[in-house]
Amino acid sequence: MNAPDRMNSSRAFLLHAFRQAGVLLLAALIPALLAGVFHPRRPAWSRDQAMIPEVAWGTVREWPGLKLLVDARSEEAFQRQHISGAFPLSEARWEERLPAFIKAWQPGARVVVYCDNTGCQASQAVARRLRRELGINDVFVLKGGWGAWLVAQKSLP
Amino acid sequence: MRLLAVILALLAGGQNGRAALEWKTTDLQLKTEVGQEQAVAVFPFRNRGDKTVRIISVDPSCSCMAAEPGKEVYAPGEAGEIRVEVALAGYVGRLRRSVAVETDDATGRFAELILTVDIPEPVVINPRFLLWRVGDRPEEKSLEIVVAEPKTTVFGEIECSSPLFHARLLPQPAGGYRLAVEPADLRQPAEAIIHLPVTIAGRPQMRLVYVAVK
Amino acid sequence: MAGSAKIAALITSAGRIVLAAVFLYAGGLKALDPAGFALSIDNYRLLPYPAAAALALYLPWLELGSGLAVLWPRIRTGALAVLLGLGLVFSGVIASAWLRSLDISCGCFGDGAHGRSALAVSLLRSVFLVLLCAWLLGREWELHYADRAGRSQ
Repeated sequence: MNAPDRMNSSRAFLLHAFRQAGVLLLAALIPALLAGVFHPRRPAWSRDQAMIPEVAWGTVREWPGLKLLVDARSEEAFQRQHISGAFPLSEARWEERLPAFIKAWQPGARVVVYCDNTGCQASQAVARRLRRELGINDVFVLKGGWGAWLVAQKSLP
Repeated sequence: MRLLAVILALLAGGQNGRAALEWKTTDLQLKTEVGQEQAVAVFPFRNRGDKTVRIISVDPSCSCMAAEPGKEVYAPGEAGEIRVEVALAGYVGRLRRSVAVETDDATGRFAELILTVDIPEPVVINPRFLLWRVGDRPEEKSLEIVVAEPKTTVFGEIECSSPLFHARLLPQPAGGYRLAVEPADLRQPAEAIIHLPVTIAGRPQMRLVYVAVK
Repeated sequence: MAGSAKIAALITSAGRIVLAAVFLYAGGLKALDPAGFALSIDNYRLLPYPAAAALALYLPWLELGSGLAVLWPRIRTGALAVLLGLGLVFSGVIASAWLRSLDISCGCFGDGAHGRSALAVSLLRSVFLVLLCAWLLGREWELHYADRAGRSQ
């Protein structure tokens, strides 16, 4: 093959590659759109609404390494009863409680935030805020919150 | 409990007949000012039914809220309101809260009142925490400070609680700042708080940034 | 000669399988949790959050489709081009995080590692994949060129 043929060949190859790439780029749109509508773990469209992943107490218990539990309920609820070792950190007393949490946190630690139960939003709000303000990424919300933890304690032998 | 109230409110919407209590709106948005510690919202309603309606309970979605009706019982045609107070101290950004109202009205037992409060963030520091690992090279790290109103926002002299960290506040062309921090020594764990005094629209405030070697 | 050609073909096939496996695994993990992936993309602080959310929905399927397509001769070239592009973009993003001294968890295999050493490992992994893609694309080009040269004779 001479030089012009080689150039034509290169052009044909590039065109071939782009056409096929185009097909793949377009084809991926379909499942993406479907996921955007139907996926149970589809993302929110605003950072303020982004859902922090939930994790069940059974899973948290099995995790190796450092785990930090954060109680996002009111101060009164925390004083009444809380998961042993949990740090109180509600939005209402954020600045006051944050230093103690930062002191305890270590790189690699998994943080699990809980509030009353599945319906309350405080744990998601606190988890999002920890993620946003402290840049901590291993933050989770306890599935079922305090209520689920209580039930789990009752079923322990 | 709240979730149950919402589900029941949604189911109630499918029942025959219109609810007796007619709300002017069940979705309010409030904008607050910098430093505001409390927001108050009022949800007016009128009893359009032909029977007396009793408000059984008013259940806010968080302990940061207090919600009350003017009174318990409303005669046909009578107007009333639910007054909602939200404590704002400590909160930032957009707050979305709700109040579940339960009545003895057979055609509309539950109503959900939604309150969205926008708390201004004149100074946004993300992240507020810089971390170095013990044994790493002591290199400078920085974070961005975004200022909503550069003309009325003035930073004072910053202070670090530990001499192990050297912090500088550097103005940026777009009106924000960059906080550059350099640790002196990464052989031992250390922690410090950097105090950033700032005056926003004439109001002095303090912003804190946390730094640590772990 | 025939022997070395056979070995070259074997190595090429192995390379394709490795590449396909890596992207099928990575894409699959992300497709299971787009909400989590959106947060990972957001951690790089390069895009507004809605764009991160859109990418989190789209990228996993692009990776899955292209990873699978690497094994199919009819669309292999395009798949390699897409994966090369993805690899270059991802390498650029990690390098940008490195330069900005961002301390983030890498959004590639969900390993949640922290610190610059983790970023360095992610960058090396990404560069390796880029080089593998480029090499396989080169092989495709050789085959295409040889095919055309053969036909023009």
